Parts: sequence; C-alpha cells; structure tokens
Amino acid sequence: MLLTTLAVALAVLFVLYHQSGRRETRAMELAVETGLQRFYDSFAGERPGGVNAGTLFKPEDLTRAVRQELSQPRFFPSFVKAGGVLVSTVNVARGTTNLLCVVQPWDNARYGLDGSGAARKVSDSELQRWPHSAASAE
Amino acid sequence: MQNSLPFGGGVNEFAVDAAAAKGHNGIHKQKQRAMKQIQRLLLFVVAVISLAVNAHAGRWLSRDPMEVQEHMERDPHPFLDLNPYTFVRNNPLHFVDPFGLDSYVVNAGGYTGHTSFVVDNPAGGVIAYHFFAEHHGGDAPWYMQDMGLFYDGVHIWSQYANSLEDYLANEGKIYGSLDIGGVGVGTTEDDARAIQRLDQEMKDQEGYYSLLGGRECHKQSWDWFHDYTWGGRDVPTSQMQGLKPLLINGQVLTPPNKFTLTPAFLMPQLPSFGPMQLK
Repeated sequence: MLLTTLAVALAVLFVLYHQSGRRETRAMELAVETGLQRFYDSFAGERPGGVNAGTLFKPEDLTRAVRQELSQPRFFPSFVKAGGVLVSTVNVARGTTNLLCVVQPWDNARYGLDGSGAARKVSDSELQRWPHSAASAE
Repeated sequence: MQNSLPFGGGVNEFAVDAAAAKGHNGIHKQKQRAMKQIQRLLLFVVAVISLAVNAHAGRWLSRDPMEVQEHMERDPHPFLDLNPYTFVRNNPLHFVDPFGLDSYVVNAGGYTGHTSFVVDNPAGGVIAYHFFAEHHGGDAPWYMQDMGLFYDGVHIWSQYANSLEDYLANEGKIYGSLDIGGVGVGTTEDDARAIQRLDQEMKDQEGYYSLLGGRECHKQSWDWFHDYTWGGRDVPTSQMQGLKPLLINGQVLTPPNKFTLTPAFLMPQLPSFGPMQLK
C-alpha cells in the first residue's frame, strides 16, 4: 500500500514537472517572439522619414540595428546570443512575409521576424532558402 | 502623559498637558486642553486619510498607503502595525520615494506555475528575471525536461517588456491566473543596482536545482525581491510587515499603478489635508 502511494505520488510529481517544463519552454518562446516584435516596432519606426520609413528594409541598416541590440539588449531575452542571430542579406519589403532576421535560442528552435513585424517559427527548409548571414560576422 | 514617535522623541504638542491634567482650574487652561484634544483628533484624521507629514517634527504621521491598502484587503484592522517607516525600509533619511513602486514578484499559475521577479528598467519599461531549471530551457528532449525534479543546473534569464502590464499579459497567456505577490519600493538607483546584481548573477549562474531542498523559481524570486527591498540584510520579522504581499486574487490583470495609487485614490471621497504645521 505504501509503495503504491509512493509510486502514485511520484507519477503525479513527474506529470506536474513535465507540464511545468513545457510551460517554461513556452514562456521562453513567447519571450523571443515578443522581443522580436518589439525590436521590429523600434527598428521600423525609429527614423520617421528616414531610411527605415521607405518600403524596403536594407540589410546594412538591419545588421546595424541587430548588432546594437546584441551589444545593448533592450528587446531580446538574455538567452539570445550573438551567434544565434541571422540577418537577411537582401532587401526586404515592408509588409511582406519575407524574413528580416532569425533567432535561434537553442538547437531545435528558430524564430523569424518578417517584413510585416510578425514573429513565427522557421523551418529548416525555409532557412535554407533564405539568403542570410550571421549578425555577429564582421 | 507623553506620547512618543516610533523613532523616539516626544510629541508634546498632542499630549494632554501634564499640568492641566493635574487640575489647574481656570478658563485658559480648559480652553488650552480643549484645543489640544481637537488637535489630537485632527491628527488622527489626517493620519488616516493621507500620507501626512509633521513638518514640525520632520516625520511621517501616517503609514504607507500601499501597505494600508494591503492590510485593508486582508485584515479589517489595518492599523495594528504602527510603524510608519516600513515603506522606506525603516530608513527615512535615505529613502524618500514613497510611491516608487519599482519591483514586483509576479506569480503565474500558482505553485505549479512560475514566479518571476520584475524590476523597473531605468531605460524604460521593465525587466523580468526568471529562474528555471536548465533542462526546462527548451534545449533538452522532452524526457530530459523533468530532470530538474532532483538535480539540474540553473538557468537564469531576463526578459524586457514595455511595461508591467505587457509582461503580465504575456505571463497570463502561458500560465492563466496571475498574482502580484510582492510590491517593493525603491529609487532608480535601487533599480540600477538590482539590474547590475542580477545581470552578474546571470553571468555567474552555477549551482543546482532540486525540488527536494533546493531552489526553485518561487523562492528565488522572493530572494531577489528581498535583496532589492532590503539590500540583502536580515531584518526582524516585524519590520517586514510593510512589504507583505499585496494579493490580487483571481485573474485580475490590472497591476498597481504608481500614479493612481495615491492617498487620493485610496480615499477619494474625503477631502485631503495638506501637511500640518503644528505648534
């Protein structure tokens, strides 16, 4: 009886912790998505009438903004490292679903920010098709 | 009879004059005694409805409205703790920001959910600090995500948000119910120091995570909160009264707002008295 109770208690703990782990992962994912969206709001609107106010986002402006964010983070969560951020090497039209940048906080997860300011998961195939470079590259 | 302020010193202005009490009859003494009684009554009223200052003594007469509200919500006798200095960490000479509600302990989803520590960012918005088991971090396969039950590395990470409201909304999406477990006061310097300390802790993060006697997000967030509010010092339990949790039950997303949480907000139906100059 005692062993059964112990086994049930351990099973309950296991389930609770598994759910907890899942939700913590989701919290980190949401932090990345929210950070990307806030980065977009700042990047797309930081220079009204200037280079970012046109219909195209230029890769050099984007790279500069990403590097500045990585050096002095204001939007990305702390687990986003410089080596895990990729930026587009081509112009991206404002309002499109073309990727501006991709954040890879851990091995099996990639989150992209597109020209419309939406953050979404990015598949391997989409990443391979997307012309990009590492944000930290000189 | 002589009353005393919490930090010593008499308040003879409000006390019944000893000589009068001893029976010096006469119209003048009776008038004087009546005036003192009125003064005492006025003092009580002013102390109740606002964060009043006794300019003569240079001291607070009433308690932190934040604390009063918290007491009112959970206790019908809100004035049991008479120390009016808890909101400035018992240090009224160095902390002068009575409404700078700058740090929060946010719990989402109850004990099986997640607790985080949120501090105002001097650069704007807020920064939330999370304490997770390393293998809850998403980079482990599902069967490894439970390893934190017994032993695991820690994973401390920070997150920026435009405001506390935005942060709470996101936490609510994931965990459902929300509670603001603690509200701490501090200056911008306190915020900067806390951020510096926690950023360093993120860089140095090493240790263990264990449910069985180890740390978890709830306790860690409260530890950070106490570091913020008390500078890491141990303090007597009685002095912690002022920073007891402000509980907002249910799924109320409205956090305490530093601009609306004023004495006028607490007692909007009563007229406010300015600081009294007592003689």
